[in-house]
Amino acid sequence: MVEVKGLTKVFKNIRAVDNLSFRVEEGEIYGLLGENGAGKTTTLRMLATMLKPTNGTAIINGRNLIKEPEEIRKEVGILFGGESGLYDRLTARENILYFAELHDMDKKEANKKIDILARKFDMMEFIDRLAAKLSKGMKQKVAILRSIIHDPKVMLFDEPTSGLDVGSVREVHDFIRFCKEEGKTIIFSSHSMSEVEKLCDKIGIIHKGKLIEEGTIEGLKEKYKTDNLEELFMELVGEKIEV
Amino acid sequence: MRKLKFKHVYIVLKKELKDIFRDRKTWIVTILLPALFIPIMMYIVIGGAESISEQKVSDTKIVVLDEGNNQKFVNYLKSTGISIITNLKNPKESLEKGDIRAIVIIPSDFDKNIEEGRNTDLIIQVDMSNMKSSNAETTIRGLIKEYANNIVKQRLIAKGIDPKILDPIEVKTENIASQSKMAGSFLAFIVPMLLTLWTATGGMGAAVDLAAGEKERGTLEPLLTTSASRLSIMAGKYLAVTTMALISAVASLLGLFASFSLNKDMASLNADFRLSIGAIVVMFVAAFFTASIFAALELALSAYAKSFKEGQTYISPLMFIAIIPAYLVMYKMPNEIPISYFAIPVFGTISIFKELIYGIVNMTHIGIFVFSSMIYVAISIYMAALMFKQEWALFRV
Repeated sequence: MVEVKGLTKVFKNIRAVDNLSFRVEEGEIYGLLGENGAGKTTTLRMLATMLKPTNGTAIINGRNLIKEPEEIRKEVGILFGGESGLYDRLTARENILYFAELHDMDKKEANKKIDILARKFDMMEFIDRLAAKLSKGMKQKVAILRSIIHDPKVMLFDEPTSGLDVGSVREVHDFIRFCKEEGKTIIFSSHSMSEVEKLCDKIGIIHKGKLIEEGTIEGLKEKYKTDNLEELFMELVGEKIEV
Repeated sequence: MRKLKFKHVYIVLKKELKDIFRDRKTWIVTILLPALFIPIMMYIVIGGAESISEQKVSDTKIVVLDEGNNQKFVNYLKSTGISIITNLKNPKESLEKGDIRAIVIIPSDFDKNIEEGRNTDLIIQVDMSNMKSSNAETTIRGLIKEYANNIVKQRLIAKGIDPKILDPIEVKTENIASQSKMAGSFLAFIVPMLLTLWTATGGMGAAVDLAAGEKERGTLEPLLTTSASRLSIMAGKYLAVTTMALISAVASLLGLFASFSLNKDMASLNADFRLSIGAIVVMFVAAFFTASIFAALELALSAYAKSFKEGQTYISPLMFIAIIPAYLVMYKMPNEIPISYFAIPVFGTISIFKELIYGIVNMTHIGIFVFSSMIYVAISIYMAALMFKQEWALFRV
């Protein structure tokens, strides 16, 4: 379970995230929907303890983000979009193993787990190949495996499908559903309405660092009397722009 | 900043070294370049010097223009082994072109004047704008001087005078320096500078790659989400950069000794030159301190840089910080080094190397160096750690 309480991040004079609060239950996918620069990545970076909040906190699986950042890291897995961030001169396995060891996993145990997961995600063919030789889709799969190797209870996805081809996008979506089935708490950021509609149980629309609307997709559609999520989004964000 | 965990430091160090050594560039820049630098430099310097001086008389090509029949002097010139070129249509043109080094013009009654006890002239035409021609003039003058000395001797003997009368004072130079000390003086000139330069610069490539490079490739962000603290990540990377710098320094030393073995003139110096185990240990410690200071500074700058290229731009000026003191201390003898030098980074390292190579073990100097270095290492590591803690630095885009 993740409970975000008044999370705020100020960079110099810019309030990148402004008093953000929301709650995500176990096995739930929460979509953070917003334009580029709305504050989605900063929010996820704070939840992953990469950035220190200026104000507010979050409770992640009962642990306080501010007081127990080390414990939080064990609970959280994060997958970034765009560049998958692999070490080209290491093999896919070595990349994953490096992170497993830094998460205090035993090397043998980690290797076994890599084999199991690589079989599950159809990666055995390239698991011992250098990352430099992998396609973008393969790399993203390695990044996926790396993000769950320490079995986190909370998964954060920061626009994980950006720049991927159709096949790879589908694989990432399958993986997110797999995480849901495993009972993980999932926060998923995206600017793609269709993706959010397809995957999320609940969404929060974020604009200029502020949460401007929140609810289930059906609930929001009913509230704003529209069937089109994109229209709804534009209506909400457009209103704010006008203001 | 969270705690340092040695297990994490070791994991990061191990991974970084594996990663670095799989890169061909590293092998070239960190190992091959320092190792080959000295042998190549020596080959160029020694080869260049030899080609200019043409030390062998037989390599000096000259034309002899005999205006009479001075067979005696011409035969003497031939006997010296100097290379006399004949059948040239226009010797002056050949001299201008650099095909020959000098023209010796013998006046018609040269032999006759000498035989009859008179003085005579001789002309050497050279091209002073050509270094090889100008050197040839010195060589020919030497040969003529020898010929003239013999004539003087014969004339004195003929008059019943001992030729020794010409040298009332016989100067003898005795070199009290042992062969090993002479080898030391040459090594003391070049080794401290090289060792310091490579320990300072050897880790640069790794430093740029390990922080700025990671940022650019997007590998740093995921790394920061692991259970390893930033301090542990920084420490692992820092040790990897230090290791690379030390490897560079050792490679440059191996290159130096290899060039000694390959060059026969140098081999004799090398054979007589020995460093004690203690001196080697102190040298290694000194190199370690220097490498540590530079590794931390390089890593701090690299962590601040947005990209690989920017990292290189920030780190390159550090090379001057190493070169300038190296140059300033290079010409100083160990007894001329001010005590304050031992407390200044880089100056201290070169000074310690210099003393050890001269066989001097001064515990006060070593103490000042070690103590001050520990402070500098601590400051530079603190700076690197601080930079790894700064969100504005790590997430600069």
